[in-house]
Amino acid sequence: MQIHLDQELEILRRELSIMRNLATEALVRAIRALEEGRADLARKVIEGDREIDLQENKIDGMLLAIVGLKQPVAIDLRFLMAAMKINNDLERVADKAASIAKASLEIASPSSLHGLIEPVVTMSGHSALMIRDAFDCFLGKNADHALEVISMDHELNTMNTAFYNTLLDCLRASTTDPATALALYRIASAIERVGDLAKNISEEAVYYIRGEIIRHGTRPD
Amino acid sequence: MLTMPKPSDQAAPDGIQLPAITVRNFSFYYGSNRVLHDISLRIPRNEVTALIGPSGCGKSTFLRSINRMNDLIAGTRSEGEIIVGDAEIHTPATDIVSLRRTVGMVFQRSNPFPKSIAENITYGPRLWGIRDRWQLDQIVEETLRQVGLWEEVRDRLGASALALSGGQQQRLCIARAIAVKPEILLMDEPASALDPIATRRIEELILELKERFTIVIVTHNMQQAARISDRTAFFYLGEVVEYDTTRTIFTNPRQARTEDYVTGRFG
Repeated sequence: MQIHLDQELEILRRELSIMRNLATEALVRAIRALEEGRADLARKVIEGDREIDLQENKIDGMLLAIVGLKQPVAIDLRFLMAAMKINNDLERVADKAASIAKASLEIASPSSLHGLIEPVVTMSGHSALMIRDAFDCFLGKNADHALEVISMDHELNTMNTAFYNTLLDCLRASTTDPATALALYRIASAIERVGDLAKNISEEAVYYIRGEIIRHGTRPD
Repeated sequence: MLTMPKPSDQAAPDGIQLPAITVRNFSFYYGSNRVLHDISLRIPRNEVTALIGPSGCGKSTFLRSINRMNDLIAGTRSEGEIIVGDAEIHTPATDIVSLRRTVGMVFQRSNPFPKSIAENITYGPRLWGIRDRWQLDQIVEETLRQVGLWEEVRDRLGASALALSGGQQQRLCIARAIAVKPEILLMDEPASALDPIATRRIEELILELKERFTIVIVTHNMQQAARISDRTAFFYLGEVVEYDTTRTIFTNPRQARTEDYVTGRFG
């Protein structure tokens, strides 16, 4: 019985890795669409969201079957509980990528936005790194690094606040039209949210590895 | 009859304020073979405590030590203490009959007496001197209601207990055990020979009975231990590897051996 469970958990790990790749790839493509002003790439990201939704459903089905049929306990149960939430977090990362792609379509000529695209690209790279590391910590059972990933979120929040102030300055100086500024604000907010999702994934990794619930700054009794 | 102590105001390190059973450095031998090694634990009152572990780990021997059923086996001896209520039970002064009235037992296979349903229930109370017909009838109804059997058999109390289904027979055996009003019920895989529906009824019954009794159950069914017990002790090679709340044992055990066992990676 345990051999079968281990095999199913291994298949689940592979499917989750595919989900991680799809979600981070969507994020990277959405930012490239913004950076290069490529509407075709942005539309591909938006259309590709459907595939990621289906992958989420597929993994949910596998999780349900394993919990119902194998009745796992202890570390196996914690893995599945964490996987369930991480699956949802990754789907939301992909949603944010689609939101970024949609907002990028509203920006007429990104090349004219001197100094406003680079911070967004930097933030995006930071958030993608957080997702990658958080997920690797989950599969690699590295709770210490998962805690480091959580602390990386502060840096992203700081970048977001700085970018918000830059946008405000641009609006006050009338160097950027309001519609473009709003689109950029939505993009930066989406990236900031991706950082939050990476933080969630890290917290789930710690729960799986150590059995400690650290969400919302809580510690076990 | 053994008596249970009153609750203490002192905080207990294991969170158990009022143990029904206290075990201290208990070891048990079959001849020269030591099968239980220095067991120490406290079993709380009005809770279900599950004993789990691979075959031969000593959990049934431990269970049967709590009402000295092992005395029936030649060449056995024990060391250490098992205190039921406020009395150490492995002393020459222990009244075995009184102990087994306080600590009832239900076995893996239902074993009703080849008598009527009512006589199975009244057997124990009669031994304890109750002769009044009205009182005995009251005991029959009360105990059969407690095990959820009354509505099923009220019209055939004089029928043979052997005519009941396996699940009904096991509930009758539980009724027989509680008819003498024990404090503690020991159960040795009480549902392992039953189908899923009868098993579910026994499990629901155990959860109801813990309001009135302290229950210690041996089970090989991990899901059953998780479903019905408040605390779980994991036995391995005659030792208690881990004893904690069932929630901890099945979600985040402290010992690697416990985790390996409950997840099916050994044993």
